[in-house]
Amino acid sequence: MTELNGNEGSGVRDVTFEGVWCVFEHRSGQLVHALQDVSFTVPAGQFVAVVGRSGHGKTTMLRVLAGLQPPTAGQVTLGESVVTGPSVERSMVFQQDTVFPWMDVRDNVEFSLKSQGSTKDIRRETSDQRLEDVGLTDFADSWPRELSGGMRKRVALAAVMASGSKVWLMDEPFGSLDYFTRRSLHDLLINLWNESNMTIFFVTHDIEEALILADRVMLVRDGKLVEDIEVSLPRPRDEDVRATPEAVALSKTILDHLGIREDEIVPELRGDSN
Amino acid sequence: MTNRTDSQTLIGHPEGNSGPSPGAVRRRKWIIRLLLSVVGVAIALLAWQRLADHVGFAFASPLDIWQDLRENMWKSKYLEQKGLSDGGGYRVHLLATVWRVLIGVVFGAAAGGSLGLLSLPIKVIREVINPLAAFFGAAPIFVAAPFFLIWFGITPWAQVLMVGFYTALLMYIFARRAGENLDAGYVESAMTLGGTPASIFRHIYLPGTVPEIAGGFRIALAGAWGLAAISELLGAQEGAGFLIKFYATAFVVDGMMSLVTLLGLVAIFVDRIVVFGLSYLIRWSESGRSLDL
Repeated sequence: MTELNGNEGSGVRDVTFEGVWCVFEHRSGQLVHALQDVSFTVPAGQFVAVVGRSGHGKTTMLRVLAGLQPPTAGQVTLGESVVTGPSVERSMVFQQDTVFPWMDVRDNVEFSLKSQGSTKDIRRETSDQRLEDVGLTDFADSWPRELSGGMRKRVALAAVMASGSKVWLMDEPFGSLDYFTRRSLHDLLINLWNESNMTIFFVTHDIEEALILADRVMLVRDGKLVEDIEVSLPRPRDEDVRATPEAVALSKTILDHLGIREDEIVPELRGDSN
Repeated sequence: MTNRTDSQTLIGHPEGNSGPSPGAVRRRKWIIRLLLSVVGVAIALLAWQRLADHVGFAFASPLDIWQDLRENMWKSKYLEQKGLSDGGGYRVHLLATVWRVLIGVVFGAAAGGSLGLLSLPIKVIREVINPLAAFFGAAPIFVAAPFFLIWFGITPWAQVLMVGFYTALLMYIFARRAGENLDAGYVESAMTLGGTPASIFRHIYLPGTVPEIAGGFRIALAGAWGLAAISELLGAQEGAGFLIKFYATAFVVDGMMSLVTLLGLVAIFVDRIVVFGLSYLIRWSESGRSLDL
């Protein structure tokens, strides 16, 4: 087994967590178990949503897979290679805005290729293609501050696509956006995923978002993987599909597994007017 | 492939809207600011003139200073008689000070800024320099200046060294703080996009820290003028500070105030050039756009 912490390796491979623990020591001396004995295998090309309440270990799981956080015990492998550090094979779209504000849109998209030593012609060709994919061709020379939040997220997507990464790690990337922008980015992401063969880990606390996007939902609670649900709803998952008894039952299952009872939800949020 | 764009969220002016363009609004604001500045300077000059008229010969008026500069700026018979000029007037002494400041500031900023940023990933640099920076940072530089000149002599290069040291110290502290304040998310994002240590330093740390370092650079530059003048007061043989000391001893108030004013104007001029350059470097940020760091 090899160690994976650089730009080596290519191709599509399964992601495996084997007994992964991640324990932090709080300033008070108390131990925080962010991940507890997490094990699973995700075949290459699958779209996985990781769902759970805030502070229950979703982001830690993603950071361990990204190589940004070493596990306390256990290991993460990509194919035969053990993850020991960040790599271009596992690019991440963060919850906060991490598009580099000092680079124009094109330079942001080309950053990965430039770091990997690609020639200018290849960089230009790739960035043209990726910007067209995300609908930002006309904004190639814009500064990020001149773009809306949704457009900056598309820049981040284009940058990850240009990197050639086969595993995309997305940590609540659309959480700060309005509903309509989020829905348009869902469509874009699904289109990009359909056209490629990449594996996506998508962290969210939004059950609807998970059901729209993923074909597998992992439920995380108190750092443990409490359920692993296959989502076999037909695509595209529009409002009609999400209103089917099967989709409603899935939502209920997820809520139950996360320890959220129906009566905990405020009536107004459920749509009850009485 | 969906090529949907939410570009309508950009600030813009739909066709047919007759409102002013952002460029026109910016220009109008700039003109108003310029007019207010001119009014402010005019009021200050009038007040200065009135005060000088009231105080008398011990306080030169703006008109006195203007007269003095006309007589001595390019060629000064008075300085020639005193053996303080080979015919160059204030210009020669001022240029000597300007060069010392600029050389000291440029080399000091390059050294201090680089070390400050490199101290983030390289622990050895951090551990060697931090105690020194803390010690010299705590000691007021104007108090330490005489010792500096005693150790290194009163040659022009000793003054350059002192300005450079002071600039490097400030820039080290500012660069280090700027690096620490840079959002870790940018670095982590770069790492997962395949960034190497070299590319992350060049493309993330360097440009990302410029806005904060720029503020430190302007503070260092402003302080460098005072430091250079003080070092010249302490025993140089040329320079604006040296002439100020000479005039103070001879009680030539007009000349003394002319040189102080001249030094201030040069400092403002250099600062404006620096602001212009920095505003280009950080044109991607709001502060860079407004020319107001």
